[in-house]
Amino acid sequence: MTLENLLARAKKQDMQSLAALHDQLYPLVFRYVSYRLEDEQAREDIVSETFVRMLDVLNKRAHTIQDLRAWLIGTAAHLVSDHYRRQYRRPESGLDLHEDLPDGHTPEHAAEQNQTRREVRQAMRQLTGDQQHVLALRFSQELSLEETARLLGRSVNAVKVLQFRALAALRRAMDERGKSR
Amino acid sequence: MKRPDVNLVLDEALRKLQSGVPLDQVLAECGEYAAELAPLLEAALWMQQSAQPTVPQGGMARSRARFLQTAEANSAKALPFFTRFRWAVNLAVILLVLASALFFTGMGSVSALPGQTLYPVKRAVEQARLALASSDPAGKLLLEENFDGRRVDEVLRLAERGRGQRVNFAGFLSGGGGQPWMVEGILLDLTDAQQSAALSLAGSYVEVQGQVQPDGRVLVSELQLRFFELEGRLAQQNGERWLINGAWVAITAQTQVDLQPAVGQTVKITAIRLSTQDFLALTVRLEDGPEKEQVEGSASAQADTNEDRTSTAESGGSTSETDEPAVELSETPKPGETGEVKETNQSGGDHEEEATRTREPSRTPEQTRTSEPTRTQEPTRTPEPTKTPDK
Repeated sequence: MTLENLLARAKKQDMQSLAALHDQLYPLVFRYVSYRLEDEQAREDIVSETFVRMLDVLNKRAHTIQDLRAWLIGTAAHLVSDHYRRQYRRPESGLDLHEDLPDGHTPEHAAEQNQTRREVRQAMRQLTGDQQHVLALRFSQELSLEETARLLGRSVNAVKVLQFRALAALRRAMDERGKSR
Repeated sequence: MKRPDVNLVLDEALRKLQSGVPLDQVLAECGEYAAELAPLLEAALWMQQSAQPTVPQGGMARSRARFLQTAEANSAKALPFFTRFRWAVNLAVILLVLASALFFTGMGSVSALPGQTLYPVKRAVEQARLALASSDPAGKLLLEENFDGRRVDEVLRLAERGRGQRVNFAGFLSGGGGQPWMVEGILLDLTDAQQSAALSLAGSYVEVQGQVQPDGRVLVSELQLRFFELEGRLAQQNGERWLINGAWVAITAQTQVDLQPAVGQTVKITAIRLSTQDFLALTVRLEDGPEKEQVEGSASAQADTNEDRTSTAESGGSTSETDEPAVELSETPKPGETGEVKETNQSGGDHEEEATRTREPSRTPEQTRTSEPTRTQEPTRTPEPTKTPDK
């Protein structure tokens, strides 16, 4: 069954279709959030919350599956921003204290991968919101420039420039972290 | 030659990198931008390497469970509301249709005449209104007057059209002495026997049953006195005139009074009508007070009288039960002759005489109480003094 069909049936509160729609779209939201957030529990909570909120708009705003994707990413981005805002107010639960569970094949590989991931996430936090957003979209979904522009509601040229600056900023942040270690 | 856009070159390089082309090769294809883009592409490679390789199934299952639970809770909340709403709308529509049907049928039936399809509806609506007004005796009396007026109006309209129809109406009887007999302007055809009986009823409020003739007159089959039940608080006692429910009731020496009521007590009176606002009491029953139980027996005996006033008049034979049968009935012609005249209660002259007497200041309440208490136990339909003097 296509996603459009699933959406149509899910709108009629068909539980099986709702479950299938959730499972089909979950990776999209999860990958996006995982680029922006290191805390695993917070990540899971935010993705779950995004889907619960989707129930309210299913009949109102999600006319096509593209609308629904855009809405999910937009909502996840807002929830991540809210999360960071709360973190900023309560610095005692800083991200550095959290450890990801190993998911590699060997403990060494997993440790190395976790290290890289943590450094990238922490460097990303020094970027502007738009820069984080564009990089997360570009790398989590492997979206084309045009698709990213549509999701961001900007022109393709604007996204090209934003992408360039975001990568440059990330590089600088990584270099600074390397120097500080 | 125009230089290609560096942003475009970067985007192309990123695409290659994401499709698995090694960084060295990607950089080699960037040409003059290789040096500029190298640090950015390295950062992109880190981004790529830091991707979460798998979607955690546990997290997804927990999210799905919460998602479906919320969806079910929402639909469970929404469904009863919708169902209630739908039922409410259906019910409202049904009630509206019923109310409209009743309203328009009722409205349409107001002008119906006897013999027409909607006439039974009209009478049923009237009965319903009377039943609803049973808690308000004064209002009920007004309603009865109003409906009596309708009956008269119906007969007049039937008479105009010359439609032969069986009718039943009520009003003050007038005529005699060379004048034609009529009730509320409706000319009556009476047999000789009926005419002699009518003489004793002249001026009274009577009920007539008969057939409308092509000439507009009504051929009478039954002519009987209308009895009124007045129940209410005795508002005022002015000698022999009592005010009950806004109507003045004359109490005569012949009125059967169980127990003398005081102002403020509730009484139940069976009366005949002398004029629009004047009644003549035949029996008076106290409905409250300490002696209520005491009069219960007589009350039950009188209840027969009150419950069915027309049968009273019609049951000529039953008068043998009474010690003092209504005189008019003794006047009633033999069944073979004028069986139609079932009721001839009091002569018109008598009414006027009684009414006049009630206004005499010399008459005292004590005199009024002269009626024998034992008589209240008897199923007397009419009081003793209603004996009509022979004329």
